[in-house]
Amino acid sequence: MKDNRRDFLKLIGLGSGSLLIDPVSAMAGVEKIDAEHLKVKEEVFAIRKMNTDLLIAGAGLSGVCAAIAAARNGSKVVLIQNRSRLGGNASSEIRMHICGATQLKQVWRETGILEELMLTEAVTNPQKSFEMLDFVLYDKIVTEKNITLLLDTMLFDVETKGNKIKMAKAYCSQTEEIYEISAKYFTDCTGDGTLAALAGAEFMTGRESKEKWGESLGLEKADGITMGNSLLFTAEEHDKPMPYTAPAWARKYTYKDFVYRKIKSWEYGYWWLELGGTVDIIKDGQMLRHELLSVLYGVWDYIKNSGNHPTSENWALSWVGTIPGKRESRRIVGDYIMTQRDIQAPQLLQDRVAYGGWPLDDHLPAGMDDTSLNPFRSIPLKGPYSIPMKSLYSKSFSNLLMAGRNVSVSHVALSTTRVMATCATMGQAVGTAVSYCLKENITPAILCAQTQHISRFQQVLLRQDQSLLGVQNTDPEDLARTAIVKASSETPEGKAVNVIDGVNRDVKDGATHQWRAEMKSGNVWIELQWAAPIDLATVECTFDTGLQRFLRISGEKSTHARQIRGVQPETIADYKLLAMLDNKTVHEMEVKGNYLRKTSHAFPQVKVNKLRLQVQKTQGDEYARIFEIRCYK
Amino acid sequence: MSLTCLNSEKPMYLPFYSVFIGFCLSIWSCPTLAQQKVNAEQLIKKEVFESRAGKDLSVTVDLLSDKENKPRWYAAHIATGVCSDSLCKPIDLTVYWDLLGTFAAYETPESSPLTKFDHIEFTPQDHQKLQQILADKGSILKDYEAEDMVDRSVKVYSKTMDAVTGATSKTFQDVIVPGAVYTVHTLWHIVNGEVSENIWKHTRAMLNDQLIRQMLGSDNSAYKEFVFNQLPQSELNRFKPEIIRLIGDKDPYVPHFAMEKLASAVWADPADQVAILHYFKGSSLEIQNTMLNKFADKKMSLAGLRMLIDVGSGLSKAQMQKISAIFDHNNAVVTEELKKELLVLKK
Repeated sequence: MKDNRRDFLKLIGLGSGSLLIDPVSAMAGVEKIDAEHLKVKEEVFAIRKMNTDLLIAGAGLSGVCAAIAAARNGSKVVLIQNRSRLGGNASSEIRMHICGATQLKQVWRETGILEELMLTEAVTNPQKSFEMLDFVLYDKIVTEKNITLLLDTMLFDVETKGNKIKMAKAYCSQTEEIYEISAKYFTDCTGDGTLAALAGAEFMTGRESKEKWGESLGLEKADGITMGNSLLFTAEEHDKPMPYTAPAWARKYTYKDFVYRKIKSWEYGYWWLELGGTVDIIKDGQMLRHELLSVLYGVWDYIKNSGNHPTSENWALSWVGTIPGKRESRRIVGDYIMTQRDIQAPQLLQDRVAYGGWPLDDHLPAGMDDTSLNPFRSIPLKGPYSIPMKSLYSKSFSNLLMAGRNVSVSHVALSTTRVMATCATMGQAVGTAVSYCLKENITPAILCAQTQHISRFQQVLLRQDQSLLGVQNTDPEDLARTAIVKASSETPEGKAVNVIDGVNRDVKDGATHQWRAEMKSGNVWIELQWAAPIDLATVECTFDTGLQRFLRISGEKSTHARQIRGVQPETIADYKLLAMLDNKTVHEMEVKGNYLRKTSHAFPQVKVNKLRLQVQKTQGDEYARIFEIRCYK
Repeated sequence: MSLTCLNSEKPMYLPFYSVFIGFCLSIWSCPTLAQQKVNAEQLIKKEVFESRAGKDLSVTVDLLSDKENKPRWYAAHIATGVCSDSLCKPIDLTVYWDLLGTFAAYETPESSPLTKFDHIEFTPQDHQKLQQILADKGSILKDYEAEDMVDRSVKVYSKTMDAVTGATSKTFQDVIVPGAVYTVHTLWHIVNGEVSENIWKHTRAMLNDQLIRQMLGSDNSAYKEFVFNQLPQSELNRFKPEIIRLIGDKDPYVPHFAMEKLASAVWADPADQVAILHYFKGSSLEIQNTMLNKFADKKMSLAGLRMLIDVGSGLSKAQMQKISAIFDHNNAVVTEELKKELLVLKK
């Protein structure tokens, strides 16, 4: 058995060590697999042929959100991940915290599937264990019946025909399976753009010149350099001195190496523990990982043994990452390339499907190789910017989409779009788009080209609570929009009618866009009334979850200082829905312990002319708050 | 009209000086730096070069030196127009830079003061803010168009004429003088663009022993960093006494870079060991640690060991361990008397 496996691996050009690296690099310059040989080895590796609507490669936050979005919209999804945990840079393997538009310090924390994930994690993981974040993602994925999850599954080949991708091939060595996955659509959420590269789709790498797109942050001359990778660690305090001896290959640092890299605490690593921009960020990955470890242990050695941090005496490392967190590699070219101007002077692009808000945060390629240089310069933004659908599908293949850090953006624009919260919103956009395109039998290009399609699609996204700018609820099927709204009470800024004003969050236009009522009166309710009875089968609510705050698990104490971890106090916890016809209740349901922003209640269709939502308890706030109520038949 | 960004990619060894403005800002409040008496009347002016300062602007740059022929500042008279929307107004001022091209001060004639929207004159606080902004080489003004820093959804109406403009976006209120986005943006680019680079190049070209000594002996950390970065170790060795003196510098980082630039032989030289340890007592924990680390593998003179004892009281356990290790390493030279004194210290 062993010999057969070794022979097989040699056959497809993978030596023993290179199983760990991205198969794309291993395949460079090696002949394609001989199908004849493959058949012969079937007694070891089983071939699994699969057929699905959507193949998503990569299960970081982009892939996870894309998969959930597509699955919930009725599409069959195969999600492949080349490791055994979901979440990518956010998972316990790398532990980068999920940054996004909250950095604007306004009101723009991302909503939709990501918000659902973050709230669930905050509430079910008070112990702040990163492995529990992995679990939340896993749970959400396996709960969706439309998703087939393949872990430890490496993508190694793609078959195309004309301008369509036909099949993706992947293998799992642990289960000795080779998958041949045919799909109508393919989404590259690998981060490295591996699927696109295997298919031969057009992509960009490196840093563009100023002239190319008129970007002041561009270079005098274009080059192939990227931002580097970082490695993180966590450490804990003990009740006695914990001596530390660094390995011989750790780098040596002195006080002056930290001129621009202040060490203020050591329970969590540092983003500036970064290297690799000047080498090939993909192909040099093995070397880079080792160098990052030598930097990491060198920094820890400095903290523990230089004498400059005497209070570190009782601290010891508890976890060290071995998978570097990547920031940048390939960027797949779409029908639109976002550039600096799109970020700093954003327009409401017609095909907008998501938004970002992280600063333009470019990192110097040298990283810890040259500590005399300031490692980054962060340029804050005025407000959030839109991400167009045209940047999320490949111009080379009509059925290839992408989400995450490998989308159609310039290097400069990437410095803000690459953060995980923004990637998650791209994932939701792309997953929803595939389902929409399948239902309408159109391509993403046509979706963007036709106004009536893109408007309808944006309404679908909005209904599913996607992070979207400048789109109001104009869904003709939402019966709540034609209702008369009354409430037990309301405040001047929080009138009851706001629940159908078309806006489901604070958008910094001076209005709250929510109904607000004091809980202390005891009997708190809001009611929708229709002159003529309607058919009702679904009621959806959007509650307040404090989007002006940060909400993310982190290994860093200071990041948690500005969060409320757990249930968000503004959210309505217990409520009753009463559907009534001529004041007789025809359907009733009760919800207890809600902590989600968006809830959806489906029931057998009834005829109603009144719907009452009785608020029984909030998660702490003295006001009941509801942004939106929707009603569907 | 807004000026095109004039910043050009610098080779890797240059940015050091440009980001040390951060140190200037943290050590001295910038108004002091900016308002250092650039006593132009006392200084001798010499025209040194012409420089492009903007899209359609060229200026003559003067070098100001003192009576001993020591270069002190560069200066240029700027006369140009600033346009925002359809309103254009002239600005007229003399700008002073330090020897590395960092903004130092400006002078405006009484007849044409700096104004904000609606011809409102800059207040003293506005001037202070402007000086801070101009001295910040890393300002986001470098990478933002002036018109993108304005919030067009908020209209500001002029009281004196038929004009409307956008308000300064809240995000930028800390990095701009509100109401003067275009003026500040234009000035920043003139001050920190090609003129600044050309000044740096000119100083680099005229760097000689006298100027090196002047810079190492100055109050300006950026000057010291400049010397450290521009000269190879072989050249720096000629300035050993000045560099040793910098170990006592008030800046938190200059002493470290100074110690870095002392050759290994210096740390093993008896007289230099004493000179270096002279600064031990008054220095921060980090500087003391670096000194002790540097001596760890060196042959110490008796005088050097003597000094270690003299300055070694009140140190932490970790530091005493370092001192003990140095003594162990130099066991052959240590006298019985010194051994006894070390034991006393350890208690």
